[in-house]
Amino acid sequence: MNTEILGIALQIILMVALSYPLGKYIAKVYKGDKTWSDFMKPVEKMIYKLGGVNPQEEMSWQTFLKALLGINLIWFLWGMILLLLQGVLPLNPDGNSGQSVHQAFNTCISFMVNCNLQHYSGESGLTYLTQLSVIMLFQFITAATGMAAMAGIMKSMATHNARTIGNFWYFLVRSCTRILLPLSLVVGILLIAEGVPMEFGGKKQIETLEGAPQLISQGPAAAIIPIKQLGTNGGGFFGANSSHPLENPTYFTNLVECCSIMLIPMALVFALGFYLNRKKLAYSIFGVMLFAYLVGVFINIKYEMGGNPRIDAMGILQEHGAMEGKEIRFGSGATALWSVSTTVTSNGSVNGMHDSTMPLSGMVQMLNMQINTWFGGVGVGWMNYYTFLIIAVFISGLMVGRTPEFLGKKVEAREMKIATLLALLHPFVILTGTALASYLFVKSPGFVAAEGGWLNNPGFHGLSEFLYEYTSSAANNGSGFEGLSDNTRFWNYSCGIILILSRFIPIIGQVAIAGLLGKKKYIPQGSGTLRTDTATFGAMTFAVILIIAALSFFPAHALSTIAEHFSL
Amino acid sequence: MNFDVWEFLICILSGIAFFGLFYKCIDWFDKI
Repeated sequence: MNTEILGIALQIILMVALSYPLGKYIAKVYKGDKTWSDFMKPVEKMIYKLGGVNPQEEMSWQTFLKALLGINLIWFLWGMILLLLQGVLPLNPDGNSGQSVHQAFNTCISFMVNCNLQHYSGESGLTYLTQLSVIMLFQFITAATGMAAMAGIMKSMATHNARTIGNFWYFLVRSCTRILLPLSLVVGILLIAEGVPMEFGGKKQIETLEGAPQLISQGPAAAIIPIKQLGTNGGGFFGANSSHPLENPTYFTNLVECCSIMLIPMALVFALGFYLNRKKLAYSIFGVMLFAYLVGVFINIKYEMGGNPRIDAMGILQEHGAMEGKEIRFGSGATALWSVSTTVTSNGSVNGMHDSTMPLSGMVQMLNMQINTWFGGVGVGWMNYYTFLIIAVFISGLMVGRTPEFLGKKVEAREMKIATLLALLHPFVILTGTALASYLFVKSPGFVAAEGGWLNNPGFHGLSEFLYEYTSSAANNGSGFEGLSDNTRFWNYSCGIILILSRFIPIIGQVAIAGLLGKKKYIPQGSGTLRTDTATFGAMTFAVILIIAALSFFPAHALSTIAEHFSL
Repeated sequence: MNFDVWEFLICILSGIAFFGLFYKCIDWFDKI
C-alpha cells in the first residue's frame, strides 16, 4: 500500500515539475520568441504555403473564429467519408468493414471535437488507414485547435486596446509542430521501448499456454497513444483503451501515460503567466485547479484502495482494494489517480473500468467533467475557467462595491451575458439528455428494446450510466461507464449533437468575450481595482465554480451515485 | 458496409447546418 501511495505522489510531483518549464516554453512559442524548435520553420513555411495562408496577418476575433470553424467543417467531411469507405480502402489487413452512417457520424464528430467518445472497438471498428488519417490526425489538430483558441485569448489579454487577437493558422501550426509533435515523439519512443506495438502487419497468431491458437490485434499503436494522452484526446487504439496490455504494458508506461495526460493542461496555466508576465495570476489559478484535483484524487484513492463494503461483508480479504475492473499491474491506487486525471482534463482514456469504481469515485469522475475547468482539455479547459473568472470578477466586484475589471478591462453586460449563457449551456445539455433517455427508458420500452435494451444495470446505477454518457459527451471527455449499450442510433445521434454543441459554442463565446474585452479602453490598475491574482480571489472563483457548476448536478447525483453509495 | 444514402445525406447536411449555426453565433455574440 505504501508503495502505491509513493507511486501516486511521484506521478503528481513529476507532472507539476515538468509542466513549469514546459509552460515557459509554450509561452515563448506563441510569442514567437527564439526557441530550440526553430528548426521547424521550413516545415511550417511549407504548411502555410500549401494552405495558402499568411501567418503574419492579424485577425479580428470574428475572422479568427471563422477560420477555426471553416477548417473544422472540412475535417468533418473528410472524417465521415473515410470512416464510411474504410472497408474498401488500403491499409486494412484485418478486413474490417466501413462504419454504419450513425456510427461514423458519432465517431467523426467525437474525434473532431477532441472528445474521442468511442461507440466502437478499435480492433474491429477501424482500419490502420482510418486510425492514422482520421483518428491520429484529428488527435493532433483538434488539440492544436483548442490551444490556438487559448493562444488567441492570451494575445488579446496581453495587448491594450487591441482589435485583433493574432492569427489562428500561426497558433494552430505552431501548436502541432513545436509542442505536440516533439512531445509525442519522446513519449512514443518510451512506449515502444516498453513493448507497445508499431507495425502494419495485421493480426498475429500466437499459441496460448493451453496450446490453443489465438489471434492478437496489433498495429501502429505507439504512434497514436502519445498524442491520445498529450492532446487530452483519450481515444484508445484498442477497445479496452489503456487497460489493454499492448496499449499500456507496464507500471512505467502507466506512469508515462498518466503524466502525459496532465502535462500540457498544467503547463498551459503556467504559459498564461509567462505570456502575460503575470506569474502571480497563473499561480493563483494553478493553486485552485491543483487543490480541486487533489481533493478528487484523495476521495477516489480512499474509496478504491478501501475496497467494496459488500465484499468485506462476505469475509473476502481485499488487501489490494476494490479490484473489480482494474489491472493487477497498476493496482487500485494508480487506477484511482488515472480516473481523476482523465476526467479533470477531458482526456477520457481509461486504465480500468469506471463502471466498476465505487459510487462516490464515479461521482467525483462525473463532477470533474461537469465542472470541466480543473485544468481541462488542452486550451479549452483554461478557457472554461476564464468564463468563470469573468463571472467571479463581476460578482465580487458587485459584492465589494468596486468596478468589475479584469486585467484592466471593464467587464460589462455583454461579456456577462455570454459567460452566463456558456455556464448554463453545459448543465442544460447534460441534464436534458439524461432526462430524455430516462423518460424513453421508462415510457417507451418498445423503442428501447428495439435498440438492444441499453442498460444491464437499471436503478441507481443505470441512471449513473445515462448521466455519465451525456456528461462525458458535453465535457468532450470521451470516457464511459461502459455498462451502457451505446452503439445505437439514439445514443450515436444524441451524443453526437451534444458533442458538437458543447465544443464550438463555448469556444465561440470565450473567444468573443476576449475579443470584446480586447477592444475596450485599458484602465491602469489603481486603488479601486479588484485584485484578481490573490488567494482570496482564487477562493472566490473556486466558490463560484462550485456553486454554479457543481450544484446544478446535485439532484441528479442524489438519485444516482449518492443513492447507490447509501445502498451498499 | 451498412450504408443508407438518405441517412448519409441527412448526417452530412446536419453537420453543415451545425457549422452554419456556429457562424451565426459569431454574429449573435457580437451583437448581444
